[in-house]
Amino acid sequence: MTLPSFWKMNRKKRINSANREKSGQSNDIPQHILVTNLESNLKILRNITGNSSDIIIRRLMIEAIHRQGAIVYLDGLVNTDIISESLMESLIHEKSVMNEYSKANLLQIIQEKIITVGDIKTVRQLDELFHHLLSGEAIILIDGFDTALSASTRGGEIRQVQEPSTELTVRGPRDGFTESIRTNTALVRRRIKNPNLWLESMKIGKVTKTDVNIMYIHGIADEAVVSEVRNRLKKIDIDSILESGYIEQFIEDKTFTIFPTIYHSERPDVIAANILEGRVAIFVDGTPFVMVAPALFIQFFQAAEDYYSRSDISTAIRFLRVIVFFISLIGPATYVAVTTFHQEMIPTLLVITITAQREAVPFPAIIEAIIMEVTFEILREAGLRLPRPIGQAVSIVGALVIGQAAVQAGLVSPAMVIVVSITAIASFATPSFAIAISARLIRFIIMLLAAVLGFYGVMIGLIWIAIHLCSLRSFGVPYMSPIAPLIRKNLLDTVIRAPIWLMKERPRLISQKNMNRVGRAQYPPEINKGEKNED
Amino acid sequence: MKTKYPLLIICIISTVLISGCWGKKELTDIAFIIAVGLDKAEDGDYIASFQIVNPGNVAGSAQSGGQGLPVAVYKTKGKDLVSLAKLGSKRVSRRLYFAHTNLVVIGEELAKEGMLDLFDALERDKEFRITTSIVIARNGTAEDLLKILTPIDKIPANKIIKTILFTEKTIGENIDVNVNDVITGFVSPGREPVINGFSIYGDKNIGGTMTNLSSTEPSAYLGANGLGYIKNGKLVDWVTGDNAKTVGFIQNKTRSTSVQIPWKGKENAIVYSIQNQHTDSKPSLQNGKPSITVNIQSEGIIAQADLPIDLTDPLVLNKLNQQLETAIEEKVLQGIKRAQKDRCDVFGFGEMFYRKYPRMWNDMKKNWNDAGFKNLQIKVKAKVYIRRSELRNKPFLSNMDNN
Amino acid sequence: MENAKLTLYQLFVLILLFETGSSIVITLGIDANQDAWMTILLGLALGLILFLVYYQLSSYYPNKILTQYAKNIAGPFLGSIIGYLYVIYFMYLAARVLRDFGELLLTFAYSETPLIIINAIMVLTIVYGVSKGIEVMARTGELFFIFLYLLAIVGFFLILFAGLIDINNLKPMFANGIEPIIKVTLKQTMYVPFGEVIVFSMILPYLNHFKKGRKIGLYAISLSGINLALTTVINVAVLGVDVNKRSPFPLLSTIQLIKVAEFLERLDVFFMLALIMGCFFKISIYFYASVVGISDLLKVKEHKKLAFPLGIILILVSMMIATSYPEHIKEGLNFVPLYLHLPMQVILPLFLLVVSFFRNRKKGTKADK
Repeated sequence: MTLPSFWKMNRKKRINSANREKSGQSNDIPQHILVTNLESNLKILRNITGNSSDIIIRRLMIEAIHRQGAIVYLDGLVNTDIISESLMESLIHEKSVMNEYSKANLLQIIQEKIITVGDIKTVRQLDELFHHLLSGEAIILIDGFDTALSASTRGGEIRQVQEPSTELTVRGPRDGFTESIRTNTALVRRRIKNPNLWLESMKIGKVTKTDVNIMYIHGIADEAVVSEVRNRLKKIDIDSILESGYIEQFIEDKTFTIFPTIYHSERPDVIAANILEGRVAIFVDGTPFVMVAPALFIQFFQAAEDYYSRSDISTAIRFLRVIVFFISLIGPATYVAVTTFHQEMIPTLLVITITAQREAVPFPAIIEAIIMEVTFEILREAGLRLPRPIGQAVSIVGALVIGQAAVQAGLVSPAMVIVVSITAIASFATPSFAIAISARLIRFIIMLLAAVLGFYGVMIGLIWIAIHLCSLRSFGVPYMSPIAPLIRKNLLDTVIRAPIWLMKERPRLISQKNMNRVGRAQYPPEINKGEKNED
Repeated sequence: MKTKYPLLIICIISTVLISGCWGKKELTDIAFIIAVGLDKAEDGDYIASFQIVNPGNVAGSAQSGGQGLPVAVYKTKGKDLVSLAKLGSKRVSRRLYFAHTNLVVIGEELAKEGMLDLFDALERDKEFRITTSIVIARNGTAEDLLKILTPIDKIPANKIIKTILFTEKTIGENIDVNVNDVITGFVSPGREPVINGFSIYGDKNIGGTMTNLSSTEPSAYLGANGLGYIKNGKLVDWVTGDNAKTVGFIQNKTRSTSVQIPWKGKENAIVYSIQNQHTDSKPSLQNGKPSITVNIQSEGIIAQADLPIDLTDPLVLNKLNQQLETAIEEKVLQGIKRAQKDRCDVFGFGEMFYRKYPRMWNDMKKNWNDAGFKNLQIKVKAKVYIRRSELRNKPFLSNMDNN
Repeated sequence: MENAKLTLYQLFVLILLFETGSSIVITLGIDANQDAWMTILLGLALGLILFLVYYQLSSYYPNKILTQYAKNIAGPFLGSIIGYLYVIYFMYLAARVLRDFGELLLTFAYSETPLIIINAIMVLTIVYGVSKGIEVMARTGELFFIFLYLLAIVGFFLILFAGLIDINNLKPMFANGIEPIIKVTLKQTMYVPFGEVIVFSMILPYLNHFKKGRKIGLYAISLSGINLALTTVINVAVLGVDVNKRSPFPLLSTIQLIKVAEFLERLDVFFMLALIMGCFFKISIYFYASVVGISDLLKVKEHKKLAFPLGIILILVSMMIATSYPEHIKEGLNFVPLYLHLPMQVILPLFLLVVSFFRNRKKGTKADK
């Protein structure tokens, strides 16, 4: 009975989805190219954009060739100074050159001799025209020509370059990416003044046609990875790309995993450092978060500041981060496991104190843990939504007050509040937000395992996670290298941060060819022995 | 096929999770037994007393309560240890939990009758830890010992354990003995175990009530009282004082103690306080007969000098050294002879013979606990080093005008 | 055979984890009393020789696992019988170790939980690991190796600082002469754990630099042998011979005695962590060998498909092999070494080696690449 209808359902689903695909795309442009008549062109333009009032059509008389023309641009996306000073100035005021040149090359003459703007392109296809128009370029239509000119006049309000709010450092550059893709790529270019830094651009998204650029250093980056990135980006078929997160979900390796396999950052120095190690950076217009592929697990524990501070301090802080990650992962689970299964592990006085606290609590330890954890997650989410001045205070004070009140109401024990608070703080101390979120989710699973089987459950959970991590690959590179598989030379930049003059090789699995980055004998010079105290 | 396996796995996992957790013990469902006392009743059954902690009355001040007593003592009667523990579940509203049992007290009568039957359950049980200290209730029953409340330590069992730990280091008349030591002592043919004794001083009837805690001098208090020699699992003798110190010396557990010697006619004029000592016992054969040489090396300070004496003069110190050496040798020899009289090799001399002369030991071991140990020739050599005399060199008595 | 490559370090780690895995927990050679550690070292020496035999066999047939080259050596029919024998042997040993593991966990930590649940959960994890392939397992091994070694070193120092070691417990050496040492070695320690490296004949072909594999293998086995000997020395020194003989898990008893600085005590749970990790790897490798062997013999392309059903068989076998723990142990000490380990680890491989030696002599050095 069930099997036949199961099959029928499947077939219906498949037909429906195929139909949906065909009718999905909404922009059907009936005509594809321009015509020679200016008025008709303008009419076509107005029809297609539905007479949107922010499209400005400025008619003018182009003196130089004695023809009617029109400049079409989008108010708000263009730099009006360039339009008025360069474009219109040159078009209106240039003297006639009709006598000197033949009619055939008029367009070329205007392009090469008359218009004084940085970049000019010729456009015939309507969709290309709209792409330029909607990117902030001014379209120059001339009566009698079916080719339009597109002048680069991009401008408009964009956020200025300021320190990113999510990745703060004490020492280090204070610029961060903005929403404009050209600014972003320029910030990276400024740091790597090398002609081998190649940039490729593409448009992704059927409706939004978002600009996406990839950047890599030719000769250091692995060609296979670059072409893989390119292929995956080209395969994306969706109507809108609003943030790099959309792209990330399309191009990451298809494994059902909580862990991120693509790294992203708001800081240009971080992206530049990654490009220098042989990775490929992906810029998406409209978001300051730039992605980097391939990514390794250990990258999510590295912060930009590690490289600018001294190596001993950075090493200590990196150890701390690993400990912190473990705390945020197994903190509550350990508490639950120890207080319900392994009470012999706790020193006698402590276990008596904890028992005294729990006498007043009606729930078993696991329920208490879940209540506190969920409450904390709610507080955290709420803290994100509140306006900034109130947000910080409410998160911290709220947590403390609620914790204290819950203890006095007899709902949870103080020990539990402490465990949950430390876990929450620990999860904030992880440098990368993506990994912190993964740890937050996994924490619940391990808590449940601990509630069922104590430390055995926790251990099994950890083994499961370890197997999963070791089976991941990011664009072909094993996720857990250089720890597993062990590559000794690359270990200097994992949990420890060896002095810069020791980290001689680039990560081997990422840039296979060009490995050396530090020259010989770079260790600091010896102090001059025999210096005397001179008065 | 792809959807089938995850479904199967989910089914399996949920059976694990839904059917509940088997070994789970909530903290509020277990009774922490801090000390266990074992006695023998007239009809031959065992009586077990469990000193159970009341967590609310022990913990820090932030909790409600704190007026009640920190411990409660429950008794059960049964024929073997396992049933004693299980019968306890009828008296106590929680599951008896032995993982934090830090003390076992054995009544003196039971000790004299024989303790061998007690230890297998203690060793085998997975909750019970073999690092548990063990003590014999001297001149009394274990039950009474566990009932006494102590003013400084909230949990009386802690008082007993910590007292033994500190007195071992201070005067050396008791050594810390745990279940593991006792069992290895039982098994080894060349060594016998010793167990500390603890007594109740004062009125034990008031000792178990709040009134005991409400006066500056408690009506009843617990104190360490000597070492017991155990032979074949039975308590055969008590030793105190210097004889007890000997055991500590030879087993190298004593850290410090004090030795008094007479000087220039005055008794107990000079007191030497040992800071560090090390004892080495070597077995050897003298004319085919087994003999042991005990070498004691100690260094310490002059803690008290009650007559005019020039402590700055190394020659005087040398003389003191020699006197001290003789005094120590005498005392240790006496201690060993006392054990020999009881035919109880608490020092492990037999084991030393086994280590050095294994083949000879095979013949000796049958007879060791009778004549072998008794007829052992002992030689004691002490080496004393007086290193300093604390914060004064000459006693003030040296500078007083002749009184 | 799957498409995977192992680095030398990964092989090292796998062998080390495998050898040390469960053997650290059970008694080894304690029948020789305080000379147990000598039996281990002697067993190590013999084990190294056995490893050389297995390695040589693999080098005659590069890129072929045991079940494959058995057919080359002894003909298709006899060879596949030998292959089946080994697959069943590996599966049985995996079930043995699983049973050991479950019993241990049951004994000191989870006494109310049914054995099948503990075993089942471990097997679920192992099936997950094995279905991901040997590369993933090797990488996981690398991760856990660091952790395990850290635990071991910390544990060693704790035992040292607790003042528990009494060297006198190890004397007198050679108390009963050298005869009991040799007897115990030949009856027990040669096979468990050292002869068990035969399972690596199913893994050696994956090495990327096969030639250096011999050195690495010898290093790994020696290091694990020294580890085991050291552990036995510590166990005997701390507990004494008597308690050692009477404890099914002497290392646990040793750890239970640690009392340092008043709060570092009651550390049995760390023992449990080390146990879980070690046993996981040992059972995984046995199970992996068995799964790959069966999928090779039955001509199944992907061994992942067989992992789950074989996992269920593993659980069932581990429950069926003995009705009580003492029976399980007695079987392991009296029956298994003589009737299983001796033929499968020593006699059969030697026979195969001799035959392949003659065969390859005839073919010349063509096969020696």
